[in-house]
Amino acid sequence: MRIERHPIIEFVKGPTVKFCFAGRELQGFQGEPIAAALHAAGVKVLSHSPHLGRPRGFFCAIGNCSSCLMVVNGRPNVRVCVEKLTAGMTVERQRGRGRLVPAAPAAAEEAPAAAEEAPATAAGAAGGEARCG
Amino acid sequence: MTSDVAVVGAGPAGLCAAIAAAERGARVAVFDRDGPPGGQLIKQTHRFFGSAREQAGTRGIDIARQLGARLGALPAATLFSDTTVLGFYPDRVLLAERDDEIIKCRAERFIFAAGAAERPLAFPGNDLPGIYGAGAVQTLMNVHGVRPGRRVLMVGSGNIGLIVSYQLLQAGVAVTAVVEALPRIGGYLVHAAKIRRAGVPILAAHTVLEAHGTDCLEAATIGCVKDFVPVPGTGRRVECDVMCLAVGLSPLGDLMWEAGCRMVFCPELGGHVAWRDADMQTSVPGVYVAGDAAGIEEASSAMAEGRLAGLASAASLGLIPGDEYRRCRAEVLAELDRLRGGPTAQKVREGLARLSSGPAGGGVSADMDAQVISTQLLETGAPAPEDVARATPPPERLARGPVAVVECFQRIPCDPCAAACKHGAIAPFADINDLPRIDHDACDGCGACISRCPGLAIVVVDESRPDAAVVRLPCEFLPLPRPGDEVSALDREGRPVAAGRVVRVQSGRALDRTAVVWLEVPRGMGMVVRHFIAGAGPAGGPAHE
Repeated sequence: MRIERHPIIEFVKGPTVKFCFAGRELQGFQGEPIAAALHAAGVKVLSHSPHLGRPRGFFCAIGNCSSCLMVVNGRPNVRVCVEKLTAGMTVERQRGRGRLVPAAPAAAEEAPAAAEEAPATAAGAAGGEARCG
Repeated sequence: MTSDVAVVGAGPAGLCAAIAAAERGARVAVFDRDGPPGGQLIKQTHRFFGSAREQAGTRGIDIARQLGARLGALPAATLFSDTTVLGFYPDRVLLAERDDEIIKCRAERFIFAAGAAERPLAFPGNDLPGIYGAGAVQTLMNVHGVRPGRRVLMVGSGNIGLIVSYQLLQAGVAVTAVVEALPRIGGYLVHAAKIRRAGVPILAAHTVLEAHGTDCLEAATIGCVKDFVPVPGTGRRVECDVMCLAVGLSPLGDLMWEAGCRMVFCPELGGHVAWRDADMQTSVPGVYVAGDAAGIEEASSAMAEGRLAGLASAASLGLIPGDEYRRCRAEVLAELDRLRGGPTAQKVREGLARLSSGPAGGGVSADMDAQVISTQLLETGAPAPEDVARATPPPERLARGPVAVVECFQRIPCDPCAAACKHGAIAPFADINDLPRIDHDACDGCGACISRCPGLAIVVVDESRPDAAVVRLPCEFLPLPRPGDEVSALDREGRPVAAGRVVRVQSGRALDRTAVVWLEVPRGMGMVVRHFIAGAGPAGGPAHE
């Protein structure tokens, strides 16, 4: 899905970095939006809607519309169309509204209640999908 | 921090505002939530229309670089990038956030130039991944270098829909069709012509009725509409994995509402916009607006509005003497009048008239709007024989040797062709909205105008040889053909009409990424062939990848 040669534009890319999406190790360019790296890897479904669980992708790509909210490094509601990719990031599909849990000890208590939505801790991602090694 | 002028948005309007104010000595702080300055300019790969005296003929991406460099060279200006403005407070303070830190900026004057947001469209399945704003696809493709998919349905034939369709083809993505709910094409017809000759159909009085797919978009049903109501029984399924919505923009007026500016609903300008005086000052003293946030228009108008707001804010701080400011203002207002003077700016003029005291541009009569364009051209983007006849040089001139053919049928604000001609064959424009007037006898067929026309609407035709005709075509696709290549020559609607042979390819710095391909075609086909593909590709396909 990457454009290798373009008649008008010269793309200047950062270094290649690895990140983890839903248990899979993927590659992208450092500093590009997470959504661009995912799209280049063929991932279009970024989250599921709160009520009907319908798949959602990005829509505006400039941080306006909140269609692309994902759980990044355990933090929910990250607009991945504008959030820059860095090496070693953990990116998960978000279900519903996401839930911000302040600290790891509290997360253990909150976890059962948060099962429907994306549980999140400051320490790292959870969410029912396998993690990258 | 404190500042004389705080500018929100580093797009064309905000950058021009900041440059104008800082050049006059104002301390200026510019806030933008994005990284590199330029706003939407950073994805505009096409050359801009407008006046050659301003930025016309320069690609948007290059204008962004130039404006960013000019701002960067001004010690009085500071750009806060990756910084999101959160709110405006009545004690004249802006709050902004960067890297989870809050920046507080107190200023004397504020210029709100936050731009616009793409509108969604209501239809079943419109939330499927694969359905994106057209500008979003432009960002993905032209800023981040990622193709959105394989096959795109474009909804909307305004300039954004037409331009993004062309850019999709340049990126090697097929465009199935462009559908337009109105009975005629909304954007500039030269943009329409570029995708029509590449084989993309434009369907006026059509819209999307439904999107299909389970996890992602797989197909869509399109159908005819009359007065925005679907016509029963006209639905048909088209395969596509991407749908782009190019159905208009809404001004981002949040800060104006928050500041208490008087807002006026002007559907012609995209929705609610701030009332302002001839200095772009809103009903709240010291608060100015510019660009799409002040009403949806072309980027060329946004730049002029920004310059005006920047000058006005500096003048109000006593940094420009009154006489000089009035002279500068008159210049910018005259430029805005020129940009808004043609038939394509009718809606903008109506919207500004509703705002009543804006720089509406005056005295455009119904006569001036009258232009002769065939219904076929307006509905399909392909000129009818009578349109082509008006652009065709006399037979004896065609037979004498190479001559430029200017297929620019619509009055739009654009004039670089006149300056491009070194032989004076293209007359200077009295009004920037005039159609180009070419003296075919004064033209020696040098072809310098081909790559200078922002609409890629000029070709050179040579029907003087007994064995074959030669057509010189602008080409912005890769890979470029090589001399000797056999290609399929296409007409203005992308239909293969003859075998062609490439005899020469001009490229290089002077042509600024618009190559000129010399194509030998059968005699008599010089006024028919307008594009080519290597071999026989599918209509609308990625013809050049």
